[in-house]
Amino acid sequence: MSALTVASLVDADGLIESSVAALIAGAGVTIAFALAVYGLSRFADARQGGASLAGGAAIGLAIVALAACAAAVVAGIVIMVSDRT
Amino acid sequence: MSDDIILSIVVAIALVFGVTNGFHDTANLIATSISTRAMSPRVAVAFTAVLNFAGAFISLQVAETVAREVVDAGAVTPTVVLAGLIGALSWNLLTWYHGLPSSSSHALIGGVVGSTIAAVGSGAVLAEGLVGKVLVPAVVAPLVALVVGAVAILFAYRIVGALRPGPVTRAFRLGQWASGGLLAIAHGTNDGQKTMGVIMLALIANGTLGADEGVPFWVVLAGAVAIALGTYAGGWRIIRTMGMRIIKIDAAQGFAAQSTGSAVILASSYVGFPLSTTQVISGAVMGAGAGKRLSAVRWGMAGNIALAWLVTLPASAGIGALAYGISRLFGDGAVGPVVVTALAAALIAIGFGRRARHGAPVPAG
Repeated sequence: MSALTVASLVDADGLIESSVAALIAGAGVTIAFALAVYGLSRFADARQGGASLAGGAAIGLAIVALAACAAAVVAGIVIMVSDRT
Repeated sequence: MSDDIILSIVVAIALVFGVTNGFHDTANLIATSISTRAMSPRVAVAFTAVLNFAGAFISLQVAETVAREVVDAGAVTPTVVLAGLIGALSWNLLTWYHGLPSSSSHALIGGVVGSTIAAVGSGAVLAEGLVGKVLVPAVVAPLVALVVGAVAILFAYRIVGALRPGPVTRAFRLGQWASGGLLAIAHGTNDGQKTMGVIMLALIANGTLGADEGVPFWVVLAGAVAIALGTYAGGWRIIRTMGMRIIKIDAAQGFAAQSTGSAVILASSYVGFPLSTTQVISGAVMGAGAGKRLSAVRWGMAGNIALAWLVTLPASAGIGALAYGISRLFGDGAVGPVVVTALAAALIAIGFGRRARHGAPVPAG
């Protein structure tokens, strides 16, 4: 079987689709969760130091980042359940 | 009558394969959570088993690929499917016995392809499905997992690197309940469907199910129960290879590896690729390890595991072909399949007996 024949058998669309989705979801969820951890940690520090504005921004970042994580997981499951067209 | 007996044996062996698949893969699924101490082994096993069961219900694309796109379902018989299953099952248990991480998926595909070639020749093997949906994704997916795992941990460390390590570790351990759960769902989705797919293949081959009919609910339920039971039974012996020997990881790396692994497996399941979840998880763990420090990954062990993967397809194909050959010695009826199943069961029982005498796998916590 030649390389050209093998290349013609490859499901390139599926490979690209799954690789891009994996990159966005895998790295995206990890980065979003790291941002949430960062926000929570900074919020705790700001509360101890009495910096309410910085604390508010930090907890806001944590909430948005956690919501992004949750949304990514829910969207992933919903897409999985729906049939591929 | 004879066909019904053979079909019943195929369904039973397919479910046993599903159980061994979960049994074989438990370690891959839980090692990351255990090694970072996010969960105790007992909790991790139960948690993973429940979510494996749930995951098996969310997609059917992989089952369709296994049933319709690897071999010509119209050209094979239930005996061929049975021989393939015996090839896969034997290889799964052999690698478990020796503590080697292998790929249940490749064992299944290899077994079925081997027995099909032995029975009707290579013309019944669907090259487009085998190459395009199995072989190429088998190589690409672990590499994608490795790269994504490395990218994810690099960004994560950049974000949390300046923070106090204690709270960060605790937060990521907590996060691993979600990422580990998602990985278990992903595993249930991809691997649960392999059992469903091979039962479907046998049903179509037997004429019980039309070529364009969907997966019956009892097949989905049975596949889900098999994978969950197998996961619960666990493959404790392999934990030492997967979780501890490849790399020592921290909670952030564990989270990155699990998120990456589940993203790759779910995305691939969506497009119908029957992946080796073992390979993907190993790739993600190595990527998350290499993202911190290349020397942290024990590449020698990773090489040994890769070698075992390479051997899986031809070895299970060989056993599948041999099983078909033995079965044919007894003619077209049910005697051959019964004999070959009994022979495989006897060999497996001898293996387990020896294992019991010379030391059982690492027991559940």
